[in-house]
Amino acid sequence: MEFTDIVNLLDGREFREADSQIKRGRLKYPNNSAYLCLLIYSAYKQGSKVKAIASAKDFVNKHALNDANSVLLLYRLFSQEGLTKEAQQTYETALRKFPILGPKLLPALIEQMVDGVTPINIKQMEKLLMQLQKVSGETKDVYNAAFACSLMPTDTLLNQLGVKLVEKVAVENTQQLYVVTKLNSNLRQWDAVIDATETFKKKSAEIALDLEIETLYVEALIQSQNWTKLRIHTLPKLTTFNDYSTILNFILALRQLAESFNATKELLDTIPFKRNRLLSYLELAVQYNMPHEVYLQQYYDALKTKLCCFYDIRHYPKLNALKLEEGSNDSHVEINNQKFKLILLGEDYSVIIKENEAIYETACAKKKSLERYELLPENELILMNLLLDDNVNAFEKTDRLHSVLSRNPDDPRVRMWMMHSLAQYGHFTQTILGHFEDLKIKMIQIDTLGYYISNLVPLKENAMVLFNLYRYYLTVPSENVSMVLQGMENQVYTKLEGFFNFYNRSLNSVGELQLALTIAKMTTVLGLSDYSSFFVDRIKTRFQLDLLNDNRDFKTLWKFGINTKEAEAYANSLLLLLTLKLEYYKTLLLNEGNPSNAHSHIKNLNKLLSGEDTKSLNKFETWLYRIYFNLFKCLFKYNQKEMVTNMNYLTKNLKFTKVMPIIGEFSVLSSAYTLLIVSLVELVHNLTGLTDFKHLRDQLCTDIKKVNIRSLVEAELEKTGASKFGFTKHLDNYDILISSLK
Amino acid sequence: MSSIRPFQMDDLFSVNPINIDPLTENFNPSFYSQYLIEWPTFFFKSTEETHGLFDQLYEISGYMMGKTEGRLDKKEWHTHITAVTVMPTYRRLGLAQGLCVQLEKMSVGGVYDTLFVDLFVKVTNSLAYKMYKGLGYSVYRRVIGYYGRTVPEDRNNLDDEIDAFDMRKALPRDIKRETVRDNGEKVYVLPNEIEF
Ligand SMILES: CC(C)(COP(=O)(O)OP(=O)(O)OC[C@H]1O[C@@H](n2cnc3c(N)ncnc32)[C@H](O)[C@@H]1OP(=O)(O)O)[C@@H](O)C(=O)NCCC(=O)NCCS
Repeated sequence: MEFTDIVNLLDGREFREADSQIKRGRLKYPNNSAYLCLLIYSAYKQGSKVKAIASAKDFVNKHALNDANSVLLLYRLFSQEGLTKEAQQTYETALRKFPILGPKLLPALIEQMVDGVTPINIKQMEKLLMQLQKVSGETKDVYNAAFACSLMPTDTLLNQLGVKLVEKVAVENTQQLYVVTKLNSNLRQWDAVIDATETFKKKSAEIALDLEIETLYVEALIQSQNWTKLRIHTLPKLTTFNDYSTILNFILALRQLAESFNATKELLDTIPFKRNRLLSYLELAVQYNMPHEVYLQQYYDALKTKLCCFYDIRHYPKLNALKLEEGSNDSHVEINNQKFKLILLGEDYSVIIKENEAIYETACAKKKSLERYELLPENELILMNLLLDDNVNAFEKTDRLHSVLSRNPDDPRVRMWMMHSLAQYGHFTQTILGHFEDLKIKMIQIDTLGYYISNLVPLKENAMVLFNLYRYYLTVPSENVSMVLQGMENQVYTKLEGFFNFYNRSLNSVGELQLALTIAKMTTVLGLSDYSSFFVDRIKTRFQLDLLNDNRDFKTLWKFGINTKEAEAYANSLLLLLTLKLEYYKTLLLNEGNPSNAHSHIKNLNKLLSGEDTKSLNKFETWLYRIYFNLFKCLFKYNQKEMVTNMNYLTKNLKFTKVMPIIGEFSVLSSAYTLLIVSLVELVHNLTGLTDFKHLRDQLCTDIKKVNIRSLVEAELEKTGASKFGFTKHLDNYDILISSLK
Repeated sequence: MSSIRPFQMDDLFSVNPINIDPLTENFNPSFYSQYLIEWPTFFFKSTEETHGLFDQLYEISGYMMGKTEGRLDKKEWHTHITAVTVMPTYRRLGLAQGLCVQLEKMSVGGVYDTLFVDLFVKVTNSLAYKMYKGLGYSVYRRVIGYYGRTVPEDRNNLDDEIDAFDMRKALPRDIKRETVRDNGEKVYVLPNEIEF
C-alpha cells in the first residue's frame, strides 16, 4: 500500500486497517523512516496528541528525513498543532540535507498552505525556496518551484535561483515561457526576456503568445531601449489589433527613433479603428509638443455621438478650445456637452442644472415607452443634478430618483443611486432590500455590494435573506483552494498570481465580516441561538483584523466621472472600519468563556477606544461602546482594582436618561437613529440574564418601550412628504422588534 | 482608447459597472476560474485609461469569455462564446465586435484550430442578435426553452422570452461550410439535443 493511502486511511479513521499496513511495512522495510512517521501520525490521530508531538520532535532531531511524504506528514502534524517553528524546521532541515527533495516538496508545501483560511504568504516561502539549490525532479515540479520564485519580484537572489532552476529544462509551451520571461523581467535582464520570447516564436510560429507574455516582451523592449524592434513589433499590429497600448508604444518607438511628426502621423493614418486612431493623433501631438486643439476638435466631431466622448478627452489641457456643437438633437451629443460644460463653465451650476432637467424631460416626452432593458442615457443628467444642486433637500432628491427609476426601472445605476440615497435614512432598509433583490446581486457582488443592506432591522425574514447571501462565503473558500491547486496542477502560470490574489482577497473580507456580525447580532436579538453560535464561531475562527481586505465597491456608483471628490469623500468615510472592529470585539467578548482570551480582547477594545479614529464615532456610538467596555471589564474581572470604578460607571451611565439628550440630536429619519434603536434593543438582550445588572436592564427596557417611535417617525415623514418611498413596513418591523423586549 | 488585456481572476472585484447589467450573468467564481484554467487565452478584457480617477490605472470596459468543445470527427469541434459584454458608456464603439473578432482570430490555426464559433443569445436580445449578424453569424437553430426554469418537452412550443438562438460562424478550417446552414431560425431543437 502506498504511503498516501495509509494517510488517507488514518484521516478516514480506519485505524485498524491502517495500523496493520504500517506494521507490515515496518517488517518489510525496517530502515524506512516513512513507516515510523506513519506510526507517530497514527498515534496522533487516535488521540495521543501530546505523546505523538513529543515523538515527532524527537524524530526530527534524530533522523534526517529523506522522503518528501514523511516531511509533509510531520509538517502537517506540527502545523495542525500551531507549531509553526517546528513545522518550518522539518522541511528546512530535510532540504538542507537532501536538496534533491526541493522541487517535489515545494509545490506540496504550497498545497498545504492553501487551506481556505490562511492567506498565501509568499514571503513565508522565501526561506524554503532558497533551499532549492539543486535542480532535479519532474519538469512540472521544477517550473512550479521557479514560478514561486518569481512571485517576489524584488528578491534578486530568489529570482536568480528561479532562473537557475529552469535553465536546463527546455521551454516547451507558452506557460513555461511565461515563467522564464517573468523571472528575467523581475531581474531586469531584458535581453534574456527578448531572447527567450523570440526563440520560442521562431520555434513555434503557429502558436499565438499569451497577452501576458506579449506585455513582458514589450516591456523588455522599452526598458532596453530597443526602439527599432519595438517599431517592428508594433507596426503590423496597428492595422490588425485594436489596442491603444500598442499605439502608444508605437508612438514612443518612433519618437525615440527621431521619426518626424508627419511621417509618424502618416503611419497612424492606417489604423482602421476610428476611435483609437483619432485618439492616437491627440497623443502624438502631445508627445511631439505640437498644438493638439485641432485633433481634439476632430475627435469630438467624429465621436460626439458616443457616450465615451467626454471621458476620452476630458483630461487634455486644451479642452477649453473645444467648440461644442450647439442645438444638436442627438441625445448623446447633448449629454457629452453637458459634462464638458461642467468643466468648462466653472462653478455656477444653476444653468447646467436647468438644462439637464430640460433635456431629460424632452427625452422622456419623445420616448413614451422604453424597450425592455433599454437605458435612457439622459438619466445620467439627473444623477448629475442630484450632486450639483444644493437648493434641493435630500428628500426631494430621493423623490426625483424615485420618478426617474419609475420611468426606467431597468437602469441599474439609477437603482444603485436609489439605494445609496435611501441609505441615509434609517427607515427604508426594507425598500433598499427590494432594490437590492431587483438588481439580482449575487456571487462576488455579495462581497462588493452587500454593504447596502447591512442595516436591516432584526427580523426573522431579514435574517433568512442574510443567511442566503452568506451561503456565498460558505462555498467560496474551498472552491478557491481547488482553484489554486488546479491552477498549479495545470500549470497556468499566467493566471496563478491572479488566483493567489483572488484567494487572498476573499479571506478576511470586510464584506463577509460585516455580514457575519450583522447576522450574529440579529440572531442574538431574535433568540435564534443555533444560528448565532454558528456565525459567532465563523467570526472567531476566520478573521484576522490586521489582515482585513476591503473589497467593497464604492466606485461603480460614481462612474459618470464628474464628481470624483464627493466619491472619494464618501469612500473614505466608509474606509475607517472602526465600528466594524468594535463590533467584532464586542461579539467575541459576548461569546467568550475563556478569561485570558477575554482579557486580550478587552485590551484590543481599549486600544481602539483610545485611538485617533474615535473622532469618527457619533455621540451615541461613543456612549454605547464605553458601556460595553466597562461591562466587559466587570464581567471578566479585568482589573480588580478598577472593579468599583467600572461598576460605578455603569450605574451612572447605563440609563436611558443618558441617551435621551443624544437622541435629540439625531433626526428620527436618519440611519443613525435606526441604528441607535436597534443597538439599544440589542443591549437589553445582551444584559438579560446578568444578575448584577438586572435592575439597570429592566429600567432601560421599560424606558425604551415608552418611546413611541412610530408616531415620532410618522409625524416627521408627514412633514417631509416622504411617505411614498415605502416605510410603513419598516415601522411595523420596529413594533415587532420593540415588542420582543420583555 | 481601448486596449486589450488578459483577464485575471481578481478582476472580478472590479467588473460591477459591467456585471450590474441585467443581461449579463454573474457566475459562481469557480466558473470563471475554470475558464481561466482551461482556456487561459480565451478570456480577455478591454480596458480604458482613467487618468488617475479612483486610483485605478484603467477601468475594465468589457470582456470576452470563451471556450472550445465538441468532437472533430462529428464536425462539432468549435469555439464557444460564453459571455461578451460591454459597459454602457463604451457601447456602440465596436468594442464587442472587436472582442469577438479577436476570439475568432485566436481560434484559427494554432493550438485550437476550430471549425466554427458559436453562441447562444436570447431571442429577445435584439442588440446582440444584430451585432452577431453584422459579424457574419447566422442562426443555426432555435433552442426551445433554453433560458426557462423547467425542462421543455415540446419542440414546437415557441416562447421568445425563454428561447435562444444558437448562432454560428464558420471558420476557414470548415472549407465546405458544413457547420452552418440557411433558415436555421426554422430549425427547432430542445436543450438536451445540443450537448457536445
Ligand atoms: C450586446 C453588446 C455586447 C454590444 O456591445 P457593443 O460594444 O455596444 O457592440 P458593438 O459596438 O460592437 O456593436 C456592433 C453592432 O451591433 C449592433 N448593435 C449593438 N448595440 C446596438 C444598439 N443599442 N442598437 C442597435 N444596434 C446595436 C449594431 O449593428 C452595431 O454596429 P454599429 O454600431 O456599427 O451599428 C452590449 O450591448 C452588451 O453588453 N449588452 C449586455 C450583455 C449582452 O447582451 N451580451 C450578449 C449576450 S450573447
